[in-house]
Amino acid sequence: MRRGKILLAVAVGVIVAAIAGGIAFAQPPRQVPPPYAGVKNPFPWDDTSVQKAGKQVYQRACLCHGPDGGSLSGADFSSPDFPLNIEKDQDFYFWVVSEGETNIGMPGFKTSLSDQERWQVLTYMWSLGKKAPPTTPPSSAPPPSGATLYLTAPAQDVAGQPLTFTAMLQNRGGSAIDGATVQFFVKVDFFTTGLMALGEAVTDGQGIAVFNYTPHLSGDIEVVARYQDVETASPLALAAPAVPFYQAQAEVKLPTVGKDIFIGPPSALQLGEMGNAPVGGFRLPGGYLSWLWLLVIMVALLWATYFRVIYQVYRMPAVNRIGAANTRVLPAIVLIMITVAGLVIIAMLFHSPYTHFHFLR
Amino acid sequence: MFRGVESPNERLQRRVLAPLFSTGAGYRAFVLFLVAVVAWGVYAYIVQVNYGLMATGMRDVVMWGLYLVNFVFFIGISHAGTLISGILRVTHAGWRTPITRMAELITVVAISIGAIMPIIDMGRPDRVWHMIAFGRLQSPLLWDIISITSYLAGSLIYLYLPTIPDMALMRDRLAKGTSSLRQKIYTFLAVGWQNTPDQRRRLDKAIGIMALAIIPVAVSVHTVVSFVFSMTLRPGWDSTLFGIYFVIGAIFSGIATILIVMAIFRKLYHFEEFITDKHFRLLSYLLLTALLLYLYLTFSEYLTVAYKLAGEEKQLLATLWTGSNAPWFWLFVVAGMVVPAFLIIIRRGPVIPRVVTAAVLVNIAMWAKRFVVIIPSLQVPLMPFEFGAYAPTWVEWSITAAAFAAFILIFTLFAKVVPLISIWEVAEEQEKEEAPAQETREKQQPAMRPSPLGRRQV
Repeated sequence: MRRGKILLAVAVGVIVAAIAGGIAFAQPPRQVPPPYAGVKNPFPWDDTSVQKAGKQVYQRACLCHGPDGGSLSGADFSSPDFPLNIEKDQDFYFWVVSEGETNIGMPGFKTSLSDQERWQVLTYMWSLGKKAPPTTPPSSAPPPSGATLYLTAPAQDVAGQPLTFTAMLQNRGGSAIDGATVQFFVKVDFFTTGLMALGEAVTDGQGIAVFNYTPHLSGDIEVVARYQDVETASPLALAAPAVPFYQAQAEVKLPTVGKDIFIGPPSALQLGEMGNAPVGGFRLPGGYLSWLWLLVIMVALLWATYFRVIYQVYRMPAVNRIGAANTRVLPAIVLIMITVAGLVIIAMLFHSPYTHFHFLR
Repeated sequence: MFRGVESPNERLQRRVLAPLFSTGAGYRAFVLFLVAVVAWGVYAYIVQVNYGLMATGMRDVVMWGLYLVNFVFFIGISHAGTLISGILRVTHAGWRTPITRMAELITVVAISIGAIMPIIDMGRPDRVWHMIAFGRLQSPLLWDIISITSYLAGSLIYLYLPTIPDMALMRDRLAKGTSSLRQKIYTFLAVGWQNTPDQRRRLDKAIGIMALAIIPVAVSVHTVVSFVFSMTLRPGWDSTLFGIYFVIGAIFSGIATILIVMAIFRKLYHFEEFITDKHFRLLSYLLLTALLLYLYLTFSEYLTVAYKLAGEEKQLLATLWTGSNAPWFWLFVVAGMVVPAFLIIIRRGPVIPRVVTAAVLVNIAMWAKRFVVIIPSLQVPLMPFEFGAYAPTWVEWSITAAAFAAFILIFTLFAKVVPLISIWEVAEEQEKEEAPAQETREKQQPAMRPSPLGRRQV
């Protein structure tokens, strides 16, 4: 039952996505704005020297679309009907290349590419569809494995917490498949919706493959497990963590002597409302023997030196008063300013919102 | 004006102090012109605050422009003071005395202008206090704030200390009662200086400490400025060499700036007697040393990158050497390295025009070099699309012009308040040189005492 529902959901999802994608790009809106409306390609579409020039621009600027133009399903230049579309709506395509469609991640190139270069790249894109190989007959695809893949994943959790995905693999007869490699993905939105590979795990004697993953972003995602041609998905709602988890992927763990010392309100440990920066607190990472002392000592020594120097000036007047003026006023003011500035700078070393370097957790 | 024989010390005082007491029409017109340029820059800044950074050429890809170029440039020339007066004082180079004051003044004015630049660069300058309230130690920007504040404070102190005896001289020269405000200011600044042995001891001690302390602070400042760039993975910035590269570049442009300032005031204030060919010659050797060091560092920086051509660096080098940034880059190489080197090495013709030409070229080239370091690296795309484009708008050019005008303006105003040559230090040095020959005369006329003759003259 459940499998059927999932399959249905996936099928509906795929169809909706395909329709949406198709509407988004295959049917260009007719209202191309004035500077672009009605412009024509100054080059013949089949001019190979123009295509060659366009290819160089394409390889520099259009790599999201893949070397053959077919990487993004919403804008597939490798499909055989693309050359006809681009010939029919050339002003539309020139407009999109120039101004971009920033809401779906397509940047505009009018500042970085000349008019000529943009037409060259469109001419090259025209040739991509011409080059497209005939659609491969279905007979050449590998025969369906007939296996069944069950995916167990938590339906909701908090980003930053380690998760465990369990996939169970059975053959047509219902018995476990041992030693098979199952791939795990999450479906993410990045310019276009796609599967981001997380890694793979090998099934054991019970046909079970276990995969551990710590998500770093919150939001509603989908976990996908794949074995050959079989795919199973499971939705996963990831809540934002109460405590931010800034962690560098490549960190160096230094040995620390003590526990972090923190003085400040509890709200200093959390992100503020609407993800605003947390309020500050005073921290001594690594406890009383923190590395931070080295910096503090250096800064304190410097400002103490300034103080000492101005103190010499303060002591300079042989007599306190010359005429009506108290000549110690100026150095006294400067001494106070140095003290305040030095203390503020030292406080800045200790004081910050939640994190210091990533050395400690 | 003077009857009888004028002692060298009296002539020194007369020459150096003359510009402080007489202001010509030309001076006023020049100040007015500078104020107009600064006012135009303030207007441009108001436009920028009203319309946001859209008024500049900076965008999401190339997010730093002329303001950061000016920032690095001004912080760079601020190293003038440190080098000339810090290092030369520590090494007891006697010839430094007539030029230390100008060098220290350049330092203070240049850091002040440079430190404003990142704030002008901000779209929301009202949030600058966030750096103090929420600043996080992992951000190189906070390192910048800490080290630039320390450097500004230190160089203000270091500028002030050697002026104390000169302030006392001014205080005594101004007849009591006349121009009361001016006299009050000098009285306060002179902190009761009477040239007693105890005061001399304290002043020598204070200057000695500061001369030592300011050198590591100056080195740290430009290292941290370079960290703003080299702590990123950008092509061209991702370099371990950047700290020393920036420091040497700063010293290089700092010496060039002193040479220019020296030449200007030598002419305007008639300091020919005190600032001689010798000073230009010796400084030009220092300039050449810095040039060769900078050439060496430039060579290793670009060779190591060009040999490996990792990642996007090929695109960076293409845009630098043959692409859109090539004019800037080759301007730097030719005007900053090749021509000045020949101008200094081939010693034909009068020394001052030759060395000053080299210095002007070096400063132009080093400004271009900062452009070459900052903008092309941002133009190289990190994602496989959209080469960044950057063309400064009139707002940025106006504020840049205003920054240079403000630098000259503050310097010009200072030159009316503070003697541009450290009178007591030069007198001391003269004394030292002439001591063996004219022991008796110099002893009778201690350099530090303001002469009664001088007081009458004003």
